[in-house]
Amino acid sequence: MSKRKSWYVIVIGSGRFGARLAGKLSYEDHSVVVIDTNETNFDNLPPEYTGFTIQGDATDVEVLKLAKAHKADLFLALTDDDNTNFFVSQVAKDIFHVPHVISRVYDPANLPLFHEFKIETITPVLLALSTANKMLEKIAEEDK
Amino acid sequence: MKIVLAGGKKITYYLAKNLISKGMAITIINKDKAFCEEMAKTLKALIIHGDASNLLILKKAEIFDNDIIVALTTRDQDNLIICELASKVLKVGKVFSLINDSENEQVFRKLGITNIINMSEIFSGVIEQRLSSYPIINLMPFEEGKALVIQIEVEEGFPIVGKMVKDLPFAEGALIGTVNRGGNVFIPHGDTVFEVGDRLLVICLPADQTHTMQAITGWD
Repeated sequence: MSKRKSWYVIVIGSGRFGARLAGKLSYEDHSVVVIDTNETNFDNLPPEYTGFTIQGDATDVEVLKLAKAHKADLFLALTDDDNTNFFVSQVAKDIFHVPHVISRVYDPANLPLFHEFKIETITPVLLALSTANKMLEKIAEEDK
Repeated sequence: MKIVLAGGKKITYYLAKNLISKGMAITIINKDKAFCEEMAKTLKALIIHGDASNLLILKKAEIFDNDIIVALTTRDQDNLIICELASKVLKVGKVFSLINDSENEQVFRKLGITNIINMSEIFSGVIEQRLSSYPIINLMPFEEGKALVIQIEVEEGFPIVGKMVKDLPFAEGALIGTVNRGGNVFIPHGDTVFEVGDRLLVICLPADQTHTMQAITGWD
């Protein structure tokens, strides 16, 4: 384990992606809180996850207050709904002044809006495309 | 100038009907296809089927900077994105949003959306007035809630009974507009004496509401 500083991380959305990332961060000794509207989604959290869970709607400011969002170093909006991710990211940034906010964006068409508001983004479609491109290039290379 | 109503069902229909009757041009954007078909049949409005939180759909509505857009969905996160796309990307001048969770008002304000219709706040305000201990018959807010007209009936034991208007300990921000005495409505003078059964229309500022009601009823 590195001597890196331990962060306080809030993860919104305990789906496959959110839960795994929360597990990884928790394993690396960061303090993590995962918020999801659906309690059964916490089943996705891996065994190494030792952080907290809050069942609630993150678009409700009270829920973020309960999660002590004002103390967070990193805020990850990872639900499957772009509008929800945009909303909670904005709130984290402008109301709770979280220094690092990263949001998942499903529809690449929504990217300009997120970027206009200086929210860092992860776009699965673009990542998959770039991986696919690399594979195709490799195949083309071998095909020569 | 046109008004674009984004999302919402019943509220959108009634709002559109009302605005059309006032001669305004209305565009409705809704992702429910059946609702869109219904609206296309009943209203003289342009109906666009699609998700208003999607920029491509919003662009279809051809909203110009002198148009108005009102976000009416039941999800505040959708309303926020509609407003942000309209104001920041499409440069629409007048953007209104319905807010479902009253806590979100400060969020919207902070993010630059200032024309807010805070549903639960409006409702809870009205209900609180009705639940207040004072025997108020009716209460109507005017001027965005900065002025109140209160209808109240004078009951036995109120300190106001037998008093003249000029002797009432009213604050600057309150006055009795009319008195209904057995169906005869008149405007009270300084020396009008109040009687049990008088029905009063009181105009006051919200800050002076409690004090004024106490002065009339004697209740805490």
